[in-house]
Amino acid sequence: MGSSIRRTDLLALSNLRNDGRKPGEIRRMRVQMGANTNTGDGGGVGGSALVDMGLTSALATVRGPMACARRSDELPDRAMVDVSVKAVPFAPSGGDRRVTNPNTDRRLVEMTHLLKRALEATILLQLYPKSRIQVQVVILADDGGRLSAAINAASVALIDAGIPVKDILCSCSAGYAGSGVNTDEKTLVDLNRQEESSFAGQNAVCLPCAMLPQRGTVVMAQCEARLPDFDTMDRVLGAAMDGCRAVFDIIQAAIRERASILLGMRRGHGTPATNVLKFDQVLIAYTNG
Amino acid sequence: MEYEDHDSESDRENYESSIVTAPSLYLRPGYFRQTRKGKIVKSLSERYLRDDLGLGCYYVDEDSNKKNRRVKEATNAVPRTIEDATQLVTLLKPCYCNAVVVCDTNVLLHNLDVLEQSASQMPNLVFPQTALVECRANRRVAYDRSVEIMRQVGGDRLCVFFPDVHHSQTAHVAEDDNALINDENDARIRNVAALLGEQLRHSRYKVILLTDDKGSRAKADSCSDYEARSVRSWVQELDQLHPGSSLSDLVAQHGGPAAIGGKDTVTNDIFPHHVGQADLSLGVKIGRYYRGVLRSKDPQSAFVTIRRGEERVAVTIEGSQDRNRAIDGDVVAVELHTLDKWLSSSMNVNDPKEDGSTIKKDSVVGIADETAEPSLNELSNVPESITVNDAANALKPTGKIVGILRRNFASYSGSIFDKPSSSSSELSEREKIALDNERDHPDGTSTCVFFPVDNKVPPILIRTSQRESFLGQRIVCAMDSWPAHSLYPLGHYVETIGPAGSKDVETKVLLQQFKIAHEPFSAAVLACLPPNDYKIEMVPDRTDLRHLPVLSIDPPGCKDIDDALHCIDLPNGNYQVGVSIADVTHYVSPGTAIDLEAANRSTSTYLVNKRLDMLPALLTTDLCSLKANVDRYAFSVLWEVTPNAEIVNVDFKKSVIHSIAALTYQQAQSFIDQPDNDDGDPRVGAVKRLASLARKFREKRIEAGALTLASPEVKFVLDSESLNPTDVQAYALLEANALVEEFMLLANITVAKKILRHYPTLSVLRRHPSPNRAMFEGLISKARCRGFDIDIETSKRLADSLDASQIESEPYVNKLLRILSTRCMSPAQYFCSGEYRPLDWHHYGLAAPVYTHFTSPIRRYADVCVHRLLAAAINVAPLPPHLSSKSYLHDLCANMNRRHRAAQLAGRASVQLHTLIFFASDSGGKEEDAYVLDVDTAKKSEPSISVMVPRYGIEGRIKLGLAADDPKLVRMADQHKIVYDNDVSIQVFDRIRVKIWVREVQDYQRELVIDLVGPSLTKSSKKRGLEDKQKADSIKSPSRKQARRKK
Repeated sequence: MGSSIRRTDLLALSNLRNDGRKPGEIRRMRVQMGANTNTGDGGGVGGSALVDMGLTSALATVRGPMACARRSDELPDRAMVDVSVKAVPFAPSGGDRRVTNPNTDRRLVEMTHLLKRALEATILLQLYPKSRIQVQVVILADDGGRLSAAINAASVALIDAGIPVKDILCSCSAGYAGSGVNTDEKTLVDLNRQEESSFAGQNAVCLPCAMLPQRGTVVMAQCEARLPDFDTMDRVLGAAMDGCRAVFDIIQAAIRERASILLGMRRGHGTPATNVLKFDQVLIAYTNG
Repeated sequence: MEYEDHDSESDRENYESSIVTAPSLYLRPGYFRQTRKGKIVKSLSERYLRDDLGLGCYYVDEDSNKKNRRVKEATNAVPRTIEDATQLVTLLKPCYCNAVVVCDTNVLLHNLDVLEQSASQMPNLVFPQTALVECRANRRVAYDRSVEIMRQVGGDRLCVFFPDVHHSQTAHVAEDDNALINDENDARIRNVAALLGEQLRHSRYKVILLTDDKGSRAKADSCSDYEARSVRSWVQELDQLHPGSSLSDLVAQHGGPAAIGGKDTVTNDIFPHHVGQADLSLGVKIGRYYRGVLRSKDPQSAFVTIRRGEERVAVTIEGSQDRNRAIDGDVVAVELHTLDKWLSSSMNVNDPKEDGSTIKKDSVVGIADETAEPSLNELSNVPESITVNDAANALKPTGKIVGILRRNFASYSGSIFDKPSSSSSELSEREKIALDNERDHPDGTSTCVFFPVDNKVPPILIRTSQRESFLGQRIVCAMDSWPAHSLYPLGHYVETIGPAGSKDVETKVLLQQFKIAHEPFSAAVLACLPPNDYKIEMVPDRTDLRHLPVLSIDPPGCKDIDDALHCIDLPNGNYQVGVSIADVTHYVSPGTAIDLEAANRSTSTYLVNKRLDMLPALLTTDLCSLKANVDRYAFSVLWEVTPNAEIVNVDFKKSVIHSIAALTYQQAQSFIDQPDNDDGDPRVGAVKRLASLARKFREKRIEAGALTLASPEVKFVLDSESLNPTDVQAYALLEANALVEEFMLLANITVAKKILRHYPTLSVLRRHPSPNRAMFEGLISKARCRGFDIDIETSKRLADSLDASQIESEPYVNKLLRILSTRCMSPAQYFCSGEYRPLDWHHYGLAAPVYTHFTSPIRRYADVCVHRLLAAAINVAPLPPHLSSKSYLHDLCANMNRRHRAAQLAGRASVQLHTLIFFASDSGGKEEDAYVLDVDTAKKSEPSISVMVPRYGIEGRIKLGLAADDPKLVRMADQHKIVYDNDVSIQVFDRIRVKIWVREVQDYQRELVIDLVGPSLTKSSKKRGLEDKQKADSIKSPSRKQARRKK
C-alpha cells in the first residue's frame, strides 16, 4: 500500500514513522556470513557476506591479500584496497534517480570512494605491503541506506575472509524529516528510501556515517543536505553513531554465531552449508532478549 | 574523512532513548504499479507491526509555557500512548449513551461538521490511521480538519488516534477481505472497533462504528463487541437523547431520491453519468480526456485550463449538460468536441459593453466599477483561442465534462427564503426553484433550497428540521454531493452567521463569498515570527542609511507604511533620491509557513471598516512598517538625479534606515505650499526638493504617453464608536499624493528593468494590455455624439484626446470620460516574463515597456517575489529554488491575479454595504446630481438609462416607467438620446437630478433605488406615483445580489 500520509504527519500524530518504527529504531537487519562460496578463483583467502537492512540488500565478496595485478599498483609499505561497488540491473534504483548504467553511475563511483576510504581506515594494511585486497560489493536491492548496507557487508566479508581489522566497521544513517526550521524535529535513525528522498521541495536530511564502535572513531560521514546549524549536525551525527552501535551488536552476534558453528564443524558436528544458513532466527532471539 | 569524536559519551547520554532494532513482526506489502512507459513494476515497502501501541494515543499539551510566547495560543499537542483498557476507561468522558465512536473514512470525508459540533453529544472519538490516510488522499481539507479536531487539547472531548496499520492486533485482515484495497481498509477499521469493543466489554462504555458504507455495516453485524451505525441513524438517536440539539441538520446528504423527497421512485437522470474514476485516469493518460481546473463566473459560462505540453489552453464549456454538475474549482476531465463545434473567435468578439448592459438591466444599483471586468482567462494568464490549421481562423476549443477527478465542495453562505405561495401569479426564477424543490418529510424535517450569495454556486438543497429559524438569517451550508438525478446539489447546514442585513454579518458573508482568508494566522505561521524582544540592529552586510533624512508620506492613520523617501544634495550639484521599501523578505524566508500563507493570501484586503492582512500584525504594523524615529530594515533604491530629473546612476541596497517623520498627505502638502525660507527644518527642504523632481518626472511620463485616469471611488467618514458611515467624501488628490506615486512608479520601473536583465524569463512583472477597439466602440460613439473624438491608437493619443474633451459648463464630464475609458480597458495583470513575448510586457496605462510591483511588500505578495528576485540580482541572497520554476511562477501569478481581483470585489462589496447603511439611516432619501452614462435605445425594450452619481460613487439603471411601445417615445440610437413627447430629451453625459433612497424588500432585505427627479418625463405627479408602483412590482428580487442571480 502506498501510504500517502506525509512522513512528518504520522510522526507528529503518533510518534511512529511511516513504516511503523519509532524514531530511534533501525530496520530489521540480517547478516549472513559466507554467503557466496564461489570466492576462491585460483588464489587468496576468500570471504563473503550478505547484509540486509530492511529491504536494502548488499552482497560483499573479499579476495586477498594477493599479489597486485600490476606492479605500478603496489604500495611499498601497505596493501592497496581495490574496491568496486555495483548495482544489479534489477535492483530498484532510488526514487528520483533514473535507471543508469551500473558501471558509470556517478553515485556508485562516489560510493566506491567512500567505501574505500572507510576500509583503508579499518584494515591493518601495513601487515601486507605490496599486496592487494579486493572488495566487491553488489547492491541487490535498494530501499534507502545502500551505502550503509554496502559498508556493513564489506566489513563482515573482511572478517569472514580473516583479514585483520582494527575494529568491526559499522555504518548507519540518521537524519530528520521536515525542513529543519522547527527545532524540535525528531531525529530519525536508519532512513529508508521514502525518508531519505526529498518531499514537496524540501530536501530531507540524511547523514550516513561509518564508525569503529569500540574505539568511537568516525571513519566516514557524508551529508549532502543543508543543515541549519552545528547543533543539528551534532544531534544527527550522534544519532547516526548510536545507530552504528546498534548495528555493531547485530554484526557481533552474527560473527559469534558463525564462529561457533565453524568450531562445531571442526569437532565434526556437521558440514558448512553456509548458503542456506539463516541468521534471522538467531537475531530475532537476540534483539528481543 | 576522519572525524575523531571526543564527546561520544555525552552524546550518548543526550540521546534520550537508546537505539534498538525495530520489532520483529513484519509485513512486506507489495503492490504493482505501472510506470509512465507502461512497464509493470513491483513496489515493496516494509511495515513493522508493534505490540507496544496499547490502545492508540491521545494528546496532551506538554509545555504550555513555551519560550516563544506568541505561539502560546496554539496548543502544542503531544501524543501519549494509552497503555490498557483501565487507562482508557479513566480517560473516556462520560456522556448519555457512553459511546466510543470509531470513525470510518466516509465519515471523515463528508460528515466533519457533525464531528466538529458534537463535542458534548459524542465526546469520545477514535480516528483510525487507515481512515485518516484515505481521507488525506481524497480531500486534503477534510484531513486537515480531522487532525484539527483530533489534536484539540483541553476540551471536554477525548480523541484517540489509533495506528491500526502498525498495531499487531489490527493489522491483519482476513483473507477474503483483502481482495480490494478498500475492503482491506474497511476491514482494518472494523478490527479497531472490534479490539476496542473487546477491551471495553466489561466497562460501561460501548463501541459504535460510525460508517455510511452498507457493506461494512453488514460485515460488522456478525461481531457482538461493537455496533455499526450509519451517521444519520446515530445522530438521530443522539438528537433524541439530547433534546434541543439538532445535529441531524449537519449530516451530509448522499444518495438516492429518498434524500430529496422520495416522491418519484423512478429516477430520471437529468445529467449524463460521470465516467468512473479508473476510466477517467486511464482516459487522461491515453490522451482521450484532458485534465484541468474548471473556472466559472456564473452558472452559464465556464472554462477549463488544459495543458498540452508547455502550452496551456482554455477550453470553453457551454451549457449545463456539457458542464455536467461541475462547479468552480473542480478538477475535471474534459473531452474536446469535434472541430465543427468549436467557437470561432471572431464570433465571440461580442462587445463587452453589451454584456455589461444586459446584466445591469435589472435596475441594479451599485458601486461604480473601476475597470472592465477581467475575463477569467486573463486572471489565469491563459490564451483564449488556439489557431487551427490556417492562421486566419483561430477557434476557441469547446468540450464537455466527462467526469470529476476532485470535487471542490466547500461551505457557502447565503439564505433560505420564505415559502412562496404557489397562487401568486408572477414568480421569480428563484421562487420557482424553491417551489419545485422544497418539500416536507414525514420525520419533521423538510428539504429547503438554500441560495448562496455567490452567484457562481448553484442553489443547494438542504434537509433541516429548523427551517423557520433560518428565515432572515445568513447561514452557512456545505455541498455534499450532486447525483445525476438531481437538478441541484445536495448539502447540509453548517452554522448560522447571524441576522441578514446587519453590518458585521454581511461583512462576514462577503469575506466568505470572495474567499478571503480572515481566520487568524495559524500557530505554524506565528512560529516563524521573530521573538518579542527582537532588536533591529546594524548588521555589517547592510548599508547604514540612518543618517539620511528619510521620511514617509501616507494617508492619515496608515499603519502599514511600506515606503519612505529621501532626497539630499550631492557635492556635484546633483541630488541623491532614495526610495526605501520595508524589507519584508528579511522576516519572511522562502518556503516557511509564513511565506506559504502569504503566497496564498497574496494581498491584504481593505474593507471600509476592516483590514485583512497578508502578514501577521507584528510584521504589518510594527517590524516592517517604516515608522518614524525607529531603526528599520529596508530595501533601498538610490538614484543620482540631475536637477533636471535626468537619472545618472542607480543603486540597489539592503539598508537600515531611521525615518525622521511619518507625514500625512496633508502635512506634506503644507510643506510643499510653504514659501521658500531657510528655517532649517530638514523635512520641508526634502519634501520641496522631491516635489520639484516629481513634477519633472511626471512631465516626462505624460510626454511619453502615460494616461491620467480617474476613479469614481469615494471614502466614508466612519463614526468612531459604531463604525457606521456618517458621511461620504471624495478622495482629495493633492500634489503630495502625486509626489509619492511618481517615485513609486520610478522605483517599480527601475526594479523591473533590473530584475529583467538578470532573470529574463523568471521575472514577476505586471502588464497592462492595450485595449481592443471593440471594447472602446461604445464609448467612442457616445463621445462622438457630444463632439469629442477619442483616439485609442496609442496611449499618447488617448491621453491627448481625453485632455481635449472638455465641456466648459460641465467640468465633471472630462472626469467621467476618464472613468469610462478606464472601464473599457482590461485591468493590469501579473505574469511571469517567460510566458509572454517581450512586446506583450508593455504597460499601456503607464506607457512603460516593463513594470512590476516592488513598493508594497507588506500588502502584496508580488512585491515579496520581486524583492527576492532583486536580492538575487544584486547577489545578497540566492534565488529560492521554487522561484526558478516557470510553472510555479505561472500558478503563483494566476493566484495573485485572482486574489487581487477578489480583494477588489470584496472592497467594493463592502463599500456597497456601507452605502446601503448610509442611505438607510436617512429615510427620506437624498437628491443629488447624476450623469447619464448610457441610454438604452434598443427597440422594444423598456426605456431606461444608466446613471452615475459622482457624490457617492454609485451607479445604477433607472427605468423611465414608460411602455416599450409608447408612441410618444423617439429613440435616436446614433445620438444616444431619447426624446419623449417632443419635449423632454435625455442624452448621454447629460446632467440630471436623481433621488437615492433605500427600499425595504421582503422584511429584512434592502436595496438602493435611484429615481429620476428631473427632467421629469411626465407632467402629472399622480401618474408618476402610479408608475413607481408598477416599477416596484416588476422588480421581484429582494436585493441587488439576488437581482444579479437572476441572470
